[in-house]
Amino acid sequence: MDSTGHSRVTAGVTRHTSWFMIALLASLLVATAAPAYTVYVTNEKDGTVSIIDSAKLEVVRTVKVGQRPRGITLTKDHRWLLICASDDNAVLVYDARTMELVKSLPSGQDPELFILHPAGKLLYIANEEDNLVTVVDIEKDSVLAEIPVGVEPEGMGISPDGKVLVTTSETTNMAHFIDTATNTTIDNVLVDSRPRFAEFNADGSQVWVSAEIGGTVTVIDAKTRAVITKIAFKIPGMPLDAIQPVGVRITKDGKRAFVALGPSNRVAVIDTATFKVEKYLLVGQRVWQLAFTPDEKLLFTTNGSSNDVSVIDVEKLRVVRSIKVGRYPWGVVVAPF
Amino acid sequence: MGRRRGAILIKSEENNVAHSNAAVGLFAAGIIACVAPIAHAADAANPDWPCIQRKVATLTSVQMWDGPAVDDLSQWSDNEETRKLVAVLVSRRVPLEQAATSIAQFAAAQPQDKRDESLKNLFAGLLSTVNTDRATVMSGLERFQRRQKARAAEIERQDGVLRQLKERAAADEKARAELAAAEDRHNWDIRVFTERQQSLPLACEVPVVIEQRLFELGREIRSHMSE
Repeated sequence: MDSTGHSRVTAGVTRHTSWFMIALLASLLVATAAPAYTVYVTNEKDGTVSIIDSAKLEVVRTVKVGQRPRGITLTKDHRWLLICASDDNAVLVYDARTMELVKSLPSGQDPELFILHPAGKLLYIANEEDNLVTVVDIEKDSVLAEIPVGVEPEGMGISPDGKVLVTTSETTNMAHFIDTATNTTIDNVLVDSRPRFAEFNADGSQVWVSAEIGGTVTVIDAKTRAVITKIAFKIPGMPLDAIQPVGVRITKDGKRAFVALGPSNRVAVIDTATFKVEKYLLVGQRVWQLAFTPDEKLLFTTNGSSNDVSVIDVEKLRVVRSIKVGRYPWGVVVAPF
Repeated sequence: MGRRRGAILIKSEENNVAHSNAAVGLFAAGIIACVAPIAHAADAANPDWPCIQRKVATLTSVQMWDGPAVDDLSQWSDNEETRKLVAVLVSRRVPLEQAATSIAQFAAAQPQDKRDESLKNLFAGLLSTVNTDRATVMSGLERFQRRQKARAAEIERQDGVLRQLKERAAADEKARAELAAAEDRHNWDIRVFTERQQSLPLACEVPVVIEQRLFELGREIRSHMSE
């Protein structure tokens, strides 16, 4: 190769490199605009998990998992995905990146929802049939304790410091406060009919408990266990029995709460300073659970009857997309990768 | 809760079917045991409603979209173009993509200042027609359930007759002959009952599918509205 040819090649390579740099910069800019997170959705009827790319807002993979998958969470190190396979009576552990089955954890009968201790090692599982909360060490795969609670436990919340666990019982209509050091109940708070979900705010001062049949969310002072307020929902023209609060999520700054309202097909946006509903957003049919992206720019909702996931722009309070997933989408969790 | 109770009922029926060839007598007992839960599976306000899904008699516009309330509008039926499109959209044989295209064409053909109004009327027509169709499907399901209850009662009655015939059969030749025929009839009725019962979950999905389609179409119509 002569020197001219060489320089032409060099020029070509340089040009190629600069295009590559531009493309890289562009992709970085795009990435800054919309970080790509991985969203996992359990499809109760299909026995699958739909995996959504939060930048593309489309399903990139569907993986067969256990029977009747419902509750889903990610370990604190983001390595494992934990799924309640209710009809398999097990909690299945998957590698969150490859979706290979790692192991199956003992879970007790019919696990529906669970919550991880902030330290990341202990998993608290609600066993609806046995009226128990099972405490499992997810590294040693062993059951450490079984805590008797009210009839049909379901919702599970844990304080940010991990000291207090709250479980709700569907039939007893109570939120049970449990000391995680002794695994004993320290208090019971009566809420409205069929409580479904318990969520602590980020500073740990309040617990929000939704009641599906009661149609309310009870806000409880986490320290005194006194009821601060009960939030009711009114949508003009909507039959009251269609308003069934289930999933609750509160922003990290504690300013806004989002409540999934079941067959009213809406998510309520609540100003936490006044406990007033700012807005009702129409999502999909029978909206059930909610999950933020780590930057809290987007909120994903599972819509059990329309078999889709709605994506809410948290700042603009607008539904920006609906994404078809499997049948009866139930739980949702977002990984920071 | 209700959903799970319903699921158990279906499961126990499936189990009964699985064992039916092995032990018809046991199976019949199982069927009879199922009769009571059938009668009580529905909520008190709708004793003949056989589905796990809660009965919602009428779909309202506020549940189906975030546009204006259209529940009491009837002008849509005066407009031929709207009426024709409603007939196309409600047909479940028309794929949703095709329905979406028809809606887009309809929207594009409307003058800008009348578009929202026309689309609102289109949804009013759709909601009203779907509610009528859905009511027919739901009353069909209730009719089905009443017939199943009657079959279950008949099977229970036959069971009593069979027991008496079996007691008499050892000593009575006529009873023996009657017993064989009665058993045939009994087994046949159980088979019919079971097959019908197995088709129920699928039939119960029909109102759900209708509702899903209406929601999708509402979303599509709404996307062409400016307000």
